[in-house]
Formats: sequence, C-alpha cells, structure tokens
Amino acid sequence: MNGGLTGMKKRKQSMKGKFKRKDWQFATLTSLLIATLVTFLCWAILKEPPGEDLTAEALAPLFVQSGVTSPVTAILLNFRGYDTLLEVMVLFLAGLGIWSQATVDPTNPLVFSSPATHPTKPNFHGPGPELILATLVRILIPLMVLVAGYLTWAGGFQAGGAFQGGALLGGAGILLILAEPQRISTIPPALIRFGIVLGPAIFLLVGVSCFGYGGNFLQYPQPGAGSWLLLIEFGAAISIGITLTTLFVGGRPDPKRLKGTDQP
Amino acid sequence: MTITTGYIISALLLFGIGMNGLMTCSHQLRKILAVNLMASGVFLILIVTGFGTDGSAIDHVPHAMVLTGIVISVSTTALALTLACRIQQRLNRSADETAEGNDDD
Amino acid sequence: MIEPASLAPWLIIIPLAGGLLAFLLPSRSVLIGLSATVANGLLALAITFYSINTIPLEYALGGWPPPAGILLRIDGLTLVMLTMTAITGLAISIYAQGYFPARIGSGNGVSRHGPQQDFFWPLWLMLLAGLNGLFLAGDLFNLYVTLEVTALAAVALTALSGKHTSEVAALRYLLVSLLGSLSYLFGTVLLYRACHVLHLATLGALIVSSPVVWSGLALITVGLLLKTALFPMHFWLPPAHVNALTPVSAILSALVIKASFYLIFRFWGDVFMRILPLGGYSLLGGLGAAAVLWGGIQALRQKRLKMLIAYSTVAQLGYLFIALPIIRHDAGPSSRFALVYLIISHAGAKAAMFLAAGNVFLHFGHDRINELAGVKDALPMTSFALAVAGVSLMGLPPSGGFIGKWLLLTASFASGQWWWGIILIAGSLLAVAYIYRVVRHLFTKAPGPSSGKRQVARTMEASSLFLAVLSLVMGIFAPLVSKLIASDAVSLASLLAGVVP
Repeated sequence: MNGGLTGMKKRKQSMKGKFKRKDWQFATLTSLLIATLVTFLCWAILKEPPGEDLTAEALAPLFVQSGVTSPVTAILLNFRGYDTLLEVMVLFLAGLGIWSQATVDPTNPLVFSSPATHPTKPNFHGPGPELILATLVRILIPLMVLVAGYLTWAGGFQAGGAFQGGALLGGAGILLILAEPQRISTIPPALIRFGIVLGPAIFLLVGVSCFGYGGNFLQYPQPGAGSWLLLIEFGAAISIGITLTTLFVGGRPDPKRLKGTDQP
Repeated sequence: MTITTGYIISALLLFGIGMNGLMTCSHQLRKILAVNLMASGVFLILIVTGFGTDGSAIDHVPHAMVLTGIVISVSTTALALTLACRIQQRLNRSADETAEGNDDD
Repeated sequence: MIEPASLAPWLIIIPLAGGLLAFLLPSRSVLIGLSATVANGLLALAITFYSINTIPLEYALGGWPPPAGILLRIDGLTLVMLTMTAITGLAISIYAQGYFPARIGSGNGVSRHGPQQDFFWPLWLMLLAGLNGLFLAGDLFNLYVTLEVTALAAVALTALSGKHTSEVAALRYLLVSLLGSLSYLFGTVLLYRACHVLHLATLGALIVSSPVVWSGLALITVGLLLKTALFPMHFWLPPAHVNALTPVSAILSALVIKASFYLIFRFWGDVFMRILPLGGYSLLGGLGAAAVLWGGIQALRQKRLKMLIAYSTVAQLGYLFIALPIIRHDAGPSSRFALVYLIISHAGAKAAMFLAAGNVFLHFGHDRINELAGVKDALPMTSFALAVAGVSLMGLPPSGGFIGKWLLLTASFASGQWWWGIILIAGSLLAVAYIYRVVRHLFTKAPGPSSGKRQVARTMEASSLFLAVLSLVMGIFAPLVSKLIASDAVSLASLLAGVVP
C-alpha cells in the first residue's frame, strides 16, 4: 500500500516489463475480495425489497409550501437547503484548494507556471484564435449563457436549476479559455475572487436574513419563498460557472507574471 | 422489476470495478478515474432507490441526494487532478534534471 | 434569556462567512481568521453554558422537521466536542498568527510564504465550519456532506506547505478519504433503502437487522475507520501529518481525526448500539489494541520528533477503540465518560506537542530527537510544553489522560474484560518509553553554543504551553463533563428500550 506514485522513473521501469510477482498476487487477491464483496452486496440488496417509503408520503403535502413546483428543487433548496448550502461550499472549497496549490501563467493559463521548468510553450493557436473558432465562440457563448439562464429559471417547475445552469456556464467559460487563453490575463484576480464567492455568499446571506423574518436559519418567509429561491439559484449558477472554469484552469493567476493589477 | 435488478447489478459492478482500480492501479490518474467509477455506482443505486417497482419516480429525496453527490464528486476530482498534476510536474522536472538534455516527452 | 438551540446555526454561519471573507480579502485574512475563531470560541462556550440543563436540544433548519428537513442536534457529547474544537482551534489560530511571519522571517522566499498565510485562514475556517457541522448534524446524509467539507479542507491544508512530499501525502490522503466517504455514502444508501429515513434518531429506533442493514452499517463503519486511520488503515496518516505545516499538523491530529472517530462513537455507542453485534465491538477493540502496540513500537523507533508524535497519534487512537467494547458491556456512564476524557485530553496534548515540535523545528532547523539537547535553554516554554503534554499522553496523574485511562481500566476489570486493561497498561509503558526518549534530551545542556536560526514568537510558545497545561489540569472540568455525558446516558437508555423519539 505505498500509494505507488507513478512518475517518470516508475513508468520507465514498468515499460521495461519488470512486473513483480508480489504485485500480481496482491492484485489477484484484491480482485477476489472485491468480487466476493460485490456478490454478497448483490445478494443482500436483491433478496430484500426496499422498505416501506414513509418519507415520500410525509413529503407529498409539503411541496405546496415550498415555493416551487419541481419536487427535486423543493427538496434541494428548501427542505434540505442546508445540505445544498454546504454543497455549494464544497465547490467553493475545491476552487479555494486549487488556488492554494497551484499558479498558472495568466498570459497562457493552459500552462502551469509553477513549479514549471519547461519554458512556456508558445500558444498552440498561434497569435490569435482561428477564424472558425472565433466565429463559433462568438455565436455559441451568448447562446450558452442564454440557455444557462433559462435552465436556472426553469428549475422552479421542471428539471433544471442552479447546477445545470452553472454547469453550462462553466462549459461556456472553458470554451472561452480554450479559444482565447490570453483573455484571462485581462480579468483582475479580485474580480474572479468576487465571482467565486458571490453565490455562496448570497446563499448564506439569504439564510441569515431569514432570522429577520422570525424564522429559523434558511426558513424562507412563507408567501414568496419562490423568489428567495430564485435569487439563490441565480447567484449559485453564476458562481458555479465561474468556479468550474477556475477548476479547469487549475490554479490562480501567478501574480509575478501579472502586470498592472491589484494583486500584491 | 427486471430493469431495477439490472440497474442494481450494474451499479454494484461499477462500484466493484472502481474499488479494484483504486486498489491495484499504480497510476494516479487511473486511481482518480476509479474513484469516479465508484461514485457513479453509488449514484446509480441511489437513483434506482427513488423509483418505485413500476418505474415511476415516487421518492425525490434520493434524486436530490444524487445532485449533491455529483457536485461533491466534481469538486473532489478537481482537487485530486490538480494535486496529481503538481506531483507529475515535479517528477518531470527531476527526471529532466537527471536526464540532462535527453529528449524525453 | 436566549434560546440556546437558536445559537447553534451560528456555529456554522460564522466560520463559513469568515472563510468566504478571508478568501475575498486576502490582505485581511489574519484579522478575519482570528476574529472568526474567537467568535466561534465564545459561541461554543455560551451554548454549553446555556444548554447544560436542557440537553438534548434540536433545531430544525429551514423550519422543516424530519422527515422533510434536517435537524441540528445538541447533546452532551456534541457540546464537549464543540468546546474542544473551539478552544484547541483558538490556541492553534493564535499560534498560526505568529507562525507564518516567523517562517517569512527566515529571509528567503517571502513571496512563497505570503500566499500560504492567505490561503491558510480561509481553508482553516471552512474546516472549522465542517467540523462544527459534523458534530451538530442529526442526519445521515448531512453527515456525508460535512465529512466531505472537512476532508477537502483538510487535504488542501495538508498540501499547503508546497513540498513534494506533502503533495504526495495529500493526494494519498484525499484518495483514502474518498474511498472512505464513498463507502460511507454507499452504506447510507443501503440504510435509506431499508428504512427510507435519514434522521439519525428515528433511524436508530426504526432499524431492524437484515442483510442490507448489516451491509450498510459495515460499509459506513469501514469508511469511517479508513478516515480515522485505525490500524492497519493508518498507513496514510504519518506522512500527511508530518509533512504539513505545523498549525496544520496540530489541526489534523487533534481535531480532524476526532471528527470521524466521533461518528464511529455516535453510531457504535449510541444510534445503532441496539442492533450492532457484540463480535463487532470485540473486533474494533482488537484492532485498537493492535494500534496501541504497533503505534507505540513505531514511535519508539522514530528518529524525528514529528514522526514520533504522528505514530503516537496512531497509538492513542487505539485507546479510543479499546473503549468501545468496554462501553458495550458497561452499564454505567463511567466508561463513556472515560472515552470522552481520552478524546479531549489527547486533543490538547497532541496539539501542544505538534506546536512545540514546530517551534523546535523553526528555531533549530531540524527535529532530530538525538540532537535536541539545549532546547530548554533556547525555548524554555516549548520544552516545558513538550514535557507536560508528554505527562498527559503517558497517563500520569493528575492529567486528563490519567483520568480517562484509570476509569477505563477500572471499567474493564469491573466488566470482566481484564485483557483490555492489560493492553492499556502495556500501551502506557510504551508511551512512557517514547516520551522519555524525547524528554531525556530536552533538559540536557547543549554541547556547544545554541545555534538558533529563527526567532520564535512568544505567542507561539505560549499557545503550545497553554494547551499542554490544559490537558494536564483537565481534571478540574470533570464535574462539568460528567454531567454532560450522564445526561446522554439517560436518553441512550430510552433508545435502547426501543422508545421512538
């Protein structure tokens, strides 16, 4: 259980075909054990029909009070809104964690700047995006943003919601970065930070402002809960989109290579 | 009922294959992919739990749980990939330093 | 008069808000981090003070009672864990406030250490939110989410030192942690299939034995054991804890490990105690015994102070698992009280030791045990903190470790399980041996003039000494803690009798 870090050296070794006998024995043993586990679980689950569903029955009359008509959204944002708040925080944490680990060259975010020793490779698109790519991006991005907005709004009454909308926004962001990697160096890091924090902060603030209406944490005031949920959803969608894009970039813009910004 | 059975068996297979990969593969990228396979298996069984025997959605709580789980899975995968990239980069660097000019992509 | 339950959500709101703010304003992160941990500490004390006579308390998030909504639940164990986290966390925060400038003070690489401090505070505050949320959670799935918040923040903190070894350790920690949490989630799904309930107390009352339930509980337990690093699943712990930055080592060893153990205790000693098999308790106790012996022997063999402390964590975790079979067979609350005491005194002592080791490392540039001579002259408070924390780890009176081990020893003999008592004594002897290895060198004169590399701030020495002394004099809080734990035992008895809450 050495966690076997595979680097160049190890790969070279394995390329020579030096497989140890012990590894094979370990692999076979593990596979057999897991196969036994899976078979047992299969038997246990299939043998027994699922239990009587008390939750679904108890929930059915409550959906009317949730402020939205889509049951999944009602559970996600209202009944179990606390889970979703923490889940938004997990995504924020991933962005935070990645920014704390790695920096990227803002003039070409597709190349890690630290601890790189390879000289920064020239951008594979040449001096600027190619004509087809540029046109495609120009048409696609606004469309994607529009659809993302619709998806987020539609979450109130059908399949959709902040995560679907945010994922689409993230896709738009990734497309933009692939097409014009240099563009990111024109965005001040403080603005990116603000974008990442916006959604979680709105969610938290709405939850806290519920105290002002005499409710518990995240207990939205009864008539009009739907509009509070919409506010949360749009904030979350924007931040999810931005965070997913930063996850793709894989690091914070390296301040040393950034000129004329507020980054210390 | 047979469709549900099929889903459950494939979910368990996904979970098992993922776990096997996590234990036996030595490459970090494969380990990360293996964890994702395991997660897919769990999500699949969670989705099946939400459906009644006739295939209609009766309990939405598991479906909300799946959505939460997916976002968490994306987040952890992203962090794992960044760490793996950093580790690989350093190894490349030390390999470059030892190879000294040996062209080795 | 404040409703004490209404304070509970603030234990999550304050660290979350602090984490977001500290990320948004990196130049103010120290101030935000310190204020948030101070506020969190005051809040935890206030909740304990106000609710001590009214526990257990519940708080319906979003105003939805189960089965629709999620409950926060406050009982004696929760209060003890929250207060332990708040006080230990506050001392570590004060240490961290001096630690990062001290590292930068070495001269080289200011730009490298600046971001570390900027990212330490938001990550640590998010971790604090995850820990508080985990201790407060009364819902099986919500626990999964809080476990992931805790794990992601802990992994990012582990890798924060930027060393290659710590990144490798962090990735392994993340993969182990993911295997653990997916196993936990799978178990949750199976229990949900069987009972269609996520609220813990209802689940504990409704649950009946069946293959699916057994599989679910086994998956949940194995997942948590991986995260708790019980022998033989401890392989990831020493590299992760040793290679991290000093405040992070202390946080991981004193608090994060306790979070997943808290869940094992919650499930095996409370919610599912009614249906869990006796053999399972013996198995956990046996693994705990192996951990005590293995961890102790490994600690004896280490050459570096931080490694010794990390293996001591592996050993001390073993005691916590030995307590489980004793609790199962012990009718009174005294063995539960003993376990809780072991948890909190280990948190104080272990955090103190890691912080002190960090001081030694900062000042001398190494932590080789055989070359520790002269520490007493250079860093008097630090060497005193190491010695005092060592006394608590060994379990000498009047330390918190002594109270815990003594009560456990008595309970093990009283319930006819003398073999656990023998392991406890053997483990203590091992602890005496490895602590003596360190202390022996601390108080000898340095052969040559002391060669201090960096200045260690007084707050850094003081916070480590504070935690060490706290774990030594923990006996004075015994009436308070025993009152909290005794009230848990009452509600547990009604659960075991099969009364649905």
